[in-house]
Amino acid sequence: MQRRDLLRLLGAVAVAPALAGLTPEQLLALGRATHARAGGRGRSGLSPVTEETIALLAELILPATDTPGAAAVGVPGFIYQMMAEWQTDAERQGLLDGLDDLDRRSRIAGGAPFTGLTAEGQASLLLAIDGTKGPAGTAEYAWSTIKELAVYGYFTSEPVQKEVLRVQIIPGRFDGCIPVHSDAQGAG
Amino acid sequence: MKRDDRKYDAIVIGSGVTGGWAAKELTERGLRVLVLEAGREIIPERDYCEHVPPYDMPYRGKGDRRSLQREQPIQSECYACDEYSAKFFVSDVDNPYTTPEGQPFKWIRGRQIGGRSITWGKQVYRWSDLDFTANARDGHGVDWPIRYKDIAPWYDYVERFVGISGQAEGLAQLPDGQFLPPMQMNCAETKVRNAVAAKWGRERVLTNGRCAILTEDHLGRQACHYCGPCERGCITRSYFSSLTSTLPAAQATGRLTLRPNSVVVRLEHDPIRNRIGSVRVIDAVTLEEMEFEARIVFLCASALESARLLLNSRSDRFPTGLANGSDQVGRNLMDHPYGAGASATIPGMEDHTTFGNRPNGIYVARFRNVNSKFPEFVRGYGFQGGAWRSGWDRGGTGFGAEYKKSLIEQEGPWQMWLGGWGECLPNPGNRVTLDPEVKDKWGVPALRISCSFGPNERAILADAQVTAAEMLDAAGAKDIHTFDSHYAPGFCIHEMGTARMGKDPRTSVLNSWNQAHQVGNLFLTDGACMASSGNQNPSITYMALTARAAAHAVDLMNRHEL
Repeated sequence: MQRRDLLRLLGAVAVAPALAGLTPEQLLALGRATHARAGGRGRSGLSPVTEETIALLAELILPATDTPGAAAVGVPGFIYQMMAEWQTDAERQGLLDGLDDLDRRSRIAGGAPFTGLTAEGQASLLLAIDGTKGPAGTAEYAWSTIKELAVYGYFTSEPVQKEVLRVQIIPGRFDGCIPVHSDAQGAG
Repeated sequence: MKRDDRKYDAIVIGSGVTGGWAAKELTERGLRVLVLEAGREIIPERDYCEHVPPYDMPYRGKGDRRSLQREQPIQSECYACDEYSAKFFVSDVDNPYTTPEGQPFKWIRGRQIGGRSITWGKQVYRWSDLDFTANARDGHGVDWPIRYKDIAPWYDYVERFVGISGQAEGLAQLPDGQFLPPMQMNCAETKVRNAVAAKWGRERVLTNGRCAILTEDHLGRQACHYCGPCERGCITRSYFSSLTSTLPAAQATGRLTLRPNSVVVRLEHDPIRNRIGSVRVIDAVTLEEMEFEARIVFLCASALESARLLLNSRSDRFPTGLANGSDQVGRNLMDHPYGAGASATIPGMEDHTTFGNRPNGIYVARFRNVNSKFPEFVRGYGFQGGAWRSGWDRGGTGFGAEYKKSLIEQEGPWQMWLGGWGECLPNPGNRVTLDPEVKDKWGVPALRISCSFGPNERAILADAQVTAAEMLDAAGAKDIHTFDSHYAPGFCIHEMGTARMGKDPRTSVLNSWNQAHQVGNLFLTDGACMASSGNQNPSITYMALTARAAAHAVDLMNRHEL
């Protein structure tokens, strides 16, 4: 038993030199195949109204232009997942209460919850709170939290990493000081 | 188990940076060596994940926060322990330790084949006689039994194998090594380097970080491809780890037996022959107990684990711990105070940027108490740091189409930080003992760690903030902010000193060859052996001491003196 384990270990470590001949693309494929994850996630447990508000906020932060918008790259789902599986109970409640506060202010300003405001109404409300963190439970807190998660979720998504930022996982070299947007820079 | 499977020429306890070197040197000198590693095996093709993009991770790299808080609340405080790399750090639940109320110590650990050499920061700085004579000059601790001339050829020896990128500078306090080409500085770092040179000349020298990462193909290992996150592994073996460098060399001799999942519980002392007679092990998975025997034992389990093992190997002959007649086992625990310095914006050069992810930064060699005495503290500190331009992760105010476009297309201004890494004085009151009640998952008594920084360490971190700001200011920096993170000891992961070398068996545990004064067939070459801490990142010194001790041990065996 022990001997077999040892042989297995020796065999495994001995594989390493064989990799020396692989191209960066092959190495990348090897790493990705090994670490492929299942995509399915649990339900968020959020109400449809809350989900709709979050998705709208994400799209207002990162709208579709000549590059994809938040919804097109799955940002709302990422935020729901982080709320359900990653945030603490206090953070999640602070965010939900903050969305309620946003709706309360929307009703005062425009007679409807945030999703029911005109585009101008939404923009002016957000301009008033943008750049302020605010304590948990406030509209400022909800907005800054959603913005942080939306930006993170957007720029770490597969379509944006591949097609917008064109991230090179294996750059192959380091240049310490090159002109911005030069050919030498590549992309990302 | 057959009798033959239990007996070896040498047993090495630990498979990290020093255990790997002991295994390589002892097997290459003809010994049959058993390496005992408490943790599991690591297979790079299965376990390394440096090329996995964030969208393939369940939390996009932010970590399974609830699991980390439950299983690894201490480990996950470390910058290198994230969603990808948490598997290379221990479970805090299985591996408890205790600290006095209000006196935290952060013990960041990896138990696996390769130990912490898989996740280490890879910074490599030689010591000089400024360091080896420090205790003798100011009276803290005991004098080192060696000087730079004793270790210099061994620095050369290990560096040639490891592959160190760096720039020779000819500084007496930071000797040059066997360097591969340095990694480039970026535009802002070059600007600050030139400004510091213009103002301070040779007194303050800002140089390229020296690191154990290849800038050229080297001894069958590939040059770095600048993917960036080394703490997740390196499939091309471009950085030095025991797993992909020294252990394969040892395996190539055909004389290595590597046994993972082997928790060493005790070293059994044979009082008649005054040697370690056997090593008691529990299999971490099956919980089977077993013993192994060898002519010599190399203890390379890390400073705190090695001290713990000596303390747990009490016997009638050594009632306070094996080889502990000096009462110094577990004492003089040191770790570099760090996390204080300054950061700033470096104006200009906004039409230039970088390409690739350099896993390295810049270094400023020690300048306090080098040529003249500095009144506020003894010893000194060096700086690590670096400059960068932020990308989309800067966030900022705004929303909508223009905001998105700016995050995609624009970079932030050049920013730079400098952080001091200071020397820690040896203090016998900073010590570890066995906790009388708490045990780990395998029933081994846990450590109780009592350690705090003193006024000298605090004075060093205060000065580092001032001099970092001075240097950034000299380069025309704006928005200069000083910082002190107030990190607890241990958090630098340079813990050392708990079984120090020295000339006198009454005041030290190990002799000038890392051999226990009181037990001739016991060698201890990890950070525990350090009589002082220097301010340099210590791993290359541990490597050189290990190779030197292994060569000496085999010489003694060949001369039948062991």
